[in-house]
Amino acid sequence: MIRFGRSEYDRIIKHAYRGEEAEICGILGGTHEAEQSIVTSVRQAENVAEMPQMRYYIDPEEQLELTEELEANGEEVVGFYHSHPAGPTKPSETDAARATWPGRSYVIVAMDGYPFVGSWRWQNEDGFEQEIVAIE
Amino acid sequence: MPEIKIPAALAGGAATETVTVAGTTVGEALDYHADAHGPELRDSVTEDGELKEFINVFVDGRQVQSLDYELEEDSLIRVMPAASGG
Repeated sequence: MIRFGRSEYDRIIKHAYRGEEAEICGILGGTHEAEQSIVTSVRQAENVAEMPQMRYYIDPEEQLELTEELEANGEEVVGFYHSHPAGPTKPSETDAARATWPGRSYVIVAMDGYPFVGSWRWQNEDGFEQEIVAIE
Repeated sequence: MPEIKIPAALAGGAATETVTVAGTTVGEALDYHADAHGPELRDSVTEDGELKEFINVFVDGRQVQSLDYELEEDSLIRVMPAASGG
C-alpha cells in the first residue's frame, strides 16, 4: 500500500494536468516499508526525455539533488511518479524495461479521461505488482 | 578511504547505507565492496565490466560514466538507479 496526504495526492494530479501532452515526473519522499509506504513530500522534476510525449527521464544530477534534499529532510525515496497523458492506466512495456528500484513504488497518473492514479512496486524478475493507493 | 553510499533499495535494508571501501577507481571500490559484503551491489551496477545503462554512479556529486574513474582518498561514491520509463 502507498498512502498519500491529500495535498501530495492532489499535487501529482495537478502536475499531470499542467504537462498537457507531455509526460511529467517526480520523486516521492517519505517512509518506505514493504507493507506500507507513506508519501510526505512530492518533488517535481524536469522530464528530459527526448520524446516527452512517450517517455520520461529525470536528469541524473537533478535526481541526486532532489534525493539529497529529501534525505536532509529525514525522508527517503518512496518511489517515483509520472503521467501517461493518453493512457494506459498501468505500467507500459517501457516502464517495465527501465524499472530499477526494487520494492519502490512507481505511481502512474493516467489522463486518458478523468485522472486515474495507480501504483506498482517493482519486484525485479517478478515484474510490477500493483498496490493499493490510499489517501489520508 | 573512499566511501560508497547505497540507497536502501539496493542495500537490501531499511535505510541508506554508507560503507568504507578501498581502491583507486570506481571499479576497484566496487570489487572491494563485493569481496567484503558480497557481489550484490557490484552485480546490480555493472554488466560485462561496464556500468549498466539505467544505474547512475556519482563521485563527489558528479556523474561518472566509467569504472576507471579515479577516486580521491576521501571520495564519496553514490549509486542511484535511474528514474525513467514511458
